[in-house]
Amino acid sequence: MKFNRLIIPAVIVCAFSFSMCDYIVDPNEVATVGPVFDTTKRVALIEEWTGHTCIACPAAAADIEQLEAAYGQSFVAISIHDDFFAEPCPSPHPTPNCAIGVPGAFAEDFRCATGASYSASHVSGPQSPPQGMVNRLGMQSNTEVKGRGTWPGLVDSLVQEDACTSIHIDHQYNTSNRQLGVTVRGTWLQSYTGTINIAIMLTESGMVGWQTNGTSCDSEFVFENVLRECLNTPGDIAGTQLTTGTTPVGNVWSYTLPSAYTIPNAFDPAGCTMVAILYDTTTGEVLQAWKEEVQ
Amino acid sequence: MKKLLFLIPVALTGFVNNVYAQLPSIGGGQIHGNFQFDAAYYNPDSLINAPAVPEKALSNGFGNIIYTNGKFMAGVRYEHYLNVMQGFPADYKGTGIPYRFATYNNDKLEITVGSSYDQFGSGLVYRSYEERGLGYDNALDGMRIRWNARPGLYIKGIWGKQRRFFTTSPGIVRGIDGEINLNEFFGHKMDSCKAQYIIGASFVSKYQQDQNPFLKLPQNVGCWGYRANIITARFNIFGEYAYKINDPALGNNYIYKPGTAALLQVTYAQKGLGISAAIKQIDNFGYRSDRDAAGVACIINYLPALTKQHTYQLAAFYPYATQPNGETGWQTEVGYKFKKGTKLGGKYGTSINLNYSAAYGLDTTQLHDEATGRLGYTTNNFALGKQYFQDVTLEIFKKFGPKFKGTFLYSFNTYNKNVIEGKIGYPLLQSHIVVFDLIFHLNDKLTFRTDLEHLYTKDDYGSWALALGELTIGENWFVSALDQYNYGNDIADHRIHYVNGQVGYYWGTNRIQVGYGKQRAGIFCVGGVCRFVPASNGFSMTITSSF
Repeated sequence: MKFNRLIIPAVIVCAFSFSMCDYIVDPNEVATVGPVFDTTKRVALIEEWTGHTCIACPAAAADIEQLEAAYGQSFVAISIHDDFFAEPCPSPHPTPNCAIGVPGAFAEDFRCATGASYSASHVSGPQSPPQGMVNRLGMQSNTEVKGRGTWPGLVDSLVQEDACTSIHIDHQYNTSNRQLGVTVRGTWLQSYTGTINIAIMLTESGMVGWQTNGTSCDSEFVFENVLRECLNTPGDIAGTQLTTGTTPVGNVWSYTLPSAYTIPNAFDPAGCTMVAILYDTTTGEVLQAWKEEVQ
Repeated sequence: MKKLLFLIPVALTGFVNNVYAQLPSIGGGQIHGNFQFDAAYYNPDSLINAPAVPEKALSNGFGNIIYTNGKFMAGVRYEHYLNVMQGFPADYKGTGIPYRFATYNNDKLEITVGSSYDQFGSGLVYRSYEERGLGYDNALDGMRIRWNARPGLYIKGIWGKQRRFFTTSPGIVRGIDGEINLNEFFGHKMDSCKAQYIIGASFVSKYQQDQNPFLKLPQNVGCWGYRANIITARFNIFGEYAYKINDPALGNNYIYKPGTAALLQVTYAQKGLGISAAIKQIDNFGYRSDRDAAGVACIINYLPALTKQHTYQLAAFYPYATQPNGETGWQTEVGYKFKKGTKLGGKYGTSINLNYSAAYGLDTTQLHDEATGRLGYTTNNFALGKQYFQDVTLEIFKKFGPKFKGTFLYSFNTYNKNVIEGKIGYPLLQSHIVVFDLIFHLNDKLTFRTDLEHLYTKDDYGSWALALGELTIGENWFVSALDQYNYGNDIADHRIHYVNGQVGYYWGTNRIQVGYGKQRAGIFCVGGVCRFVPASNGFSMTITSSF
């Protein structure tokens, strides 16, 4: 009899509980995403930590490729090779066992001083790659470094937001002396109060090398968007102050590199891209970004 | 107007009197708590890969303060990470009061607001707890209600957000658990039963918004379990089965396969003899309130590691970490005490303990269905996959005389480094560990303990030897020195002595401990949850106090 009295509330609880479940039959049934580039909208920037001995990083690289295909010019990626998983082998990082005895395996070193500056400013970034920042959202709550699963949603949301400025890169590259001159310009579209810095990064794509991938080693992995240098403040992601106070709507702004940057012989200019980043120095948030290939 | 002005002090007086009238009931409670301060000074040491620390010294600390008064209890915990010590999650930054709660227990109904820890059944569906050594804390910030509805019927409900370092998880966790002790429930009708029968069921649902433009993610993910427990004078049989609906997450590479977990534990005990056996199978059962979280963040449930929790350093060199994506594991343990005066028991008796545990991966078939159902794989439930772990340990505890006792341990360990540490290309590591732990009571004030350990292996870093000497002086002091020597390393330069010295002073409930030395890099696990601890070289200090 006592059990009978429990049956009705138990059924109600069960019915209520199981209604709190979403069963997905077709996971890929989503709205079509396409290039939605609009100069008045924000560009989404992913700055991700990666490394050639990080077994889960190729999955993040695939995510970035998917985002690039979907959002085109509205999306920019920078891959930061730094810390433990990016160390060259066999020293200081031991060669993964799947490549022991293979000359030159995992010998690539894509680390750079600017990458170390990223890691110093966002200490949890390199700890367990792949992780990354999307427009550095969440810096004030120390949550700017996010897992790759959050990237698509944040990117999709950001590219629909109105930008405070339009942005464009003009550049001159001299193939004979490898000198690169860069000017970034734009027009303030919204009134924005704060101090805005500009940092111009150089990335390189297309290098082929070793990469751990799941349970195996891939000797022909293609590395994309590899961070090489910060052009206006070498070795430091801080960049240069662009404006402070309230931005005058409609006014044009521009920033030119004080001196031309000589692309080192180790880099292939054909694979190099300039990435301009405008960020608020107080909140840390990236307000706008833009990419332009060197050649 | 004058009348009004006159009334103000009267009203204030009445208010003050009211406050004072309530004070005795507030003041009748008790305050207790505990504090801990840890700090370390780090020297960079390229030989052991100890990194340079820009701050030179780092510190973790916390203080719990709990107030109780009859049926009321409230508390806060202050924490500081300035900056967080090496090996702990870097997301612990700064200071704050992330844990605070108030509880009132009113006639079988207990309500908690704020932070709470709790567990449904064995924890397969829900467990919030704290393990400071791991930097693990998934306290629920919200409300918890416990109701002892009638004798034998216990109901619990939780609703809130999990702690995520100094913030909360983006997901909301809702859950209910019911348990019936049939003996208590039916009262006298079951008086003739010699066994206790307990059954229970729990349900948890998490909500997290879907913002992914490429995948249709379930925003509400339900997980439920059923359990039964039979307790007799000598036997205790516990079983739980849990199921989780599609839960694409970072941990399972965003597949939509439902998850399952099953656990069966049997123990038998009689005077001088204890036997336990347990088996479990986990298939895609990671469950987090943030589907994109990694590491120790936002874990809703607890998946026990059915392996022996070693306390000796070399025996714990290769610990097992539960694999939420899938594993089958079992453990058996037999403990026996030979009586005093027998051939094996000797004058003081002898205890032996034999433990065997193993963990294997699942036998799965990949579906390569990323463009369709994204179920990921199918599982053959009646077959084992790759071996992940095995441990056979024999321990003998022997008292040789009134002032001399010791422990002998032998362990054979098999460790799949690729799976447990996420590495590639390692063979199964096999190691033999021997430990002699001897304690000599030299006189009324001096006790000397020595711990001699050896790990033999041809794999990984090669063999290790460890020697520890610890002298306890009176009731207040201890001094210890330890050397871990990686003498078997294939690389001659890496045959390093990790020497460490500690001095401790304690009085009452206070303790101050300082140390200096090298600490090797390694995996530190508690209950199958692990973290990587980098190598370090430098000073350390710990101060604890409780009241």
